[in-house]
Amino acid sequence: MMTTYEQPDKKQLLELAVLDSHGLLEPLESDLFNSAFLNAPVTLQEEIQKMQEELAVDTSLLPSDLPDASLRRRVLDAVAKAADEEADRLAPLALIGARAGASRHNQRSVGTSGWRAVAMVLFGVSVVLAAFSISANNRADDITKYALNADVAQTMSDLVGTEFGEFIRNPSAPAVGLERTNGDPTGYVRVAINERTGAGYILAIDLKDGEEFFIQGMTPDGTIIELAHLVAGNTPVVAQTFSVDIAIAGTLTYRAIDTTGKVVWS
Amino acid sequence: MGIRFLIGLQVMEPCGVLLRIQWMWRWQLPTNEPDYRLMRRVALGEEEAVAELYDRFAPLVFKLSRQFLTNTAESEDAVQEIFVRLWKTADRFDPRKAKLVTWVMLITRRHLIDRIRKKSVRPKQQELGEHHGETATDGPLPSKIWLEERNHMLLQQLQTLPELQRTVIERAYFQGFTLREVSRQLDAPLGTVKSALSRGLLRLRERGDKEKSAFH
Repeated sequence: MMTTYEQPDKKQLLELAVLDSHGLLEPLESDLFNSAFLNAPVTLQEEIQKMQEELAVDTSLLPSDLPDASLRRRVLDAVAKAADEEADRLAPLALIGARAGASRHNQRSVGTSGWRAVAMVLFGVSVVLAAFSISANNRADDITKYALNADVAQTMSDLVGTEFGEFIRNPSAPAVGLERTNGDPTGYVRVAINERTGAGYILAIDLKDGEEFFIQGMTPDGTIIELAHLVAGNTPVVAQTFSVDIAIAGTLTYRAIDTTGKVVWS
Repeated sequence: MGIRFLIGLQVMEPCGVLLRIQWMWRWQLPTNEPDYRLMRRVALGEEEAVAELYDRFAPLVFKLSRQFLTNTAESEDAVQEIFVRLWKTADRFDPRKAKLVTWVMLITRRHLIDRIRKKSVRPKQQELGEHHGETATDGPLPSKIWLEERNHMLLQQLQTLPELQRTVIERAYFQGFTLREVSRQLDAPLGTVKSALSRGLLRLRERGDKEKSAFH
């Protein structure tokens, strides 16, 4: 008999919210709190946000000291130094897949901060691709062009969103790859489920224009569960989140069916 | 530009398992929200954005650092580290989950707790033992005398709390023990420790507000 994931009650959630806002929860507990927060009613979410904000700005028990004026410059220099070190480390990644001529042209037209941004975007994307076991060689061309032409400040969120961080480097969230059943090698679909929380993430890259399918999960007893409905848009990457009962999170196999019910990815 | 998503449905699967297919959050991402745009710029390392973040939150970050750390120089180092950490994690800020000040202070508190836990100062035996007869164990601890000097009002308020709440706050919040460690030290269930800590922190805040109002 399957059991449903028990969402903390309001009292428990408020308690966890207090501890979370003070940084006192362990990483897994914090993940579970975030997951429970997302599943809570909107009114409760608003109550929690308001309470956490009040706790954050409360200075009634803090010392009255203020920072010295010189600290401002030191902080700005420390951040700039850290950013430059990161950019130097990532700069070679910014050239992955780029044609030599195009990259030389881009180096003339994109300033240092632009390359830093692109490098960060590509690093983030390459981490995502690696985590989902996708070869970056062919994809980097498209993604490089996309990043250079896009508002790079938005690109990471636009491409894969803020949720993907929960799945990257998370041993509780192994990724499963799907391939087209007709043997067409283009495109990638990856599904990951956090087996501790039931939170799931689907990443699809280079789908055909207008391609539309439904991702399904199948339990060992043959029960079919619809997880997501994907429609290819005008960006190279599509991503979507979902959640399932943690009792079945580690047991599912996946496939995708098109609008006629035909299995197109497995 | 945008990525297209579809609305999820909430369906009751025949075997009784409740499935929830969530709204795609990017559909509702408040890309025009000022704090969201600020943190995007911070993530790119734009100095003006980092300066704005500093000007808004440095006093609060510094005050909290002074509460935890032993001297001004150490607090200033911590503030630098915290703002570097804020830059590194800026792309993870989601205004749908929390206000920016909540996010900043969460990063700050986590950093200060990590810093305390890395410190090698050993607690004096009687400072931990006097509350519950427990012997001190290895762990970082700002000296109680220093704590008294820096946080006179806070200490006064702590003394008004029930013993369990006071003890768990001192050990988890100021001494850097994890909640599991506190649970083992006090031989109390983890849930009890969490509840006591949560209630104690809220009570401290309520009483601190009343004290402040009394002087104004």
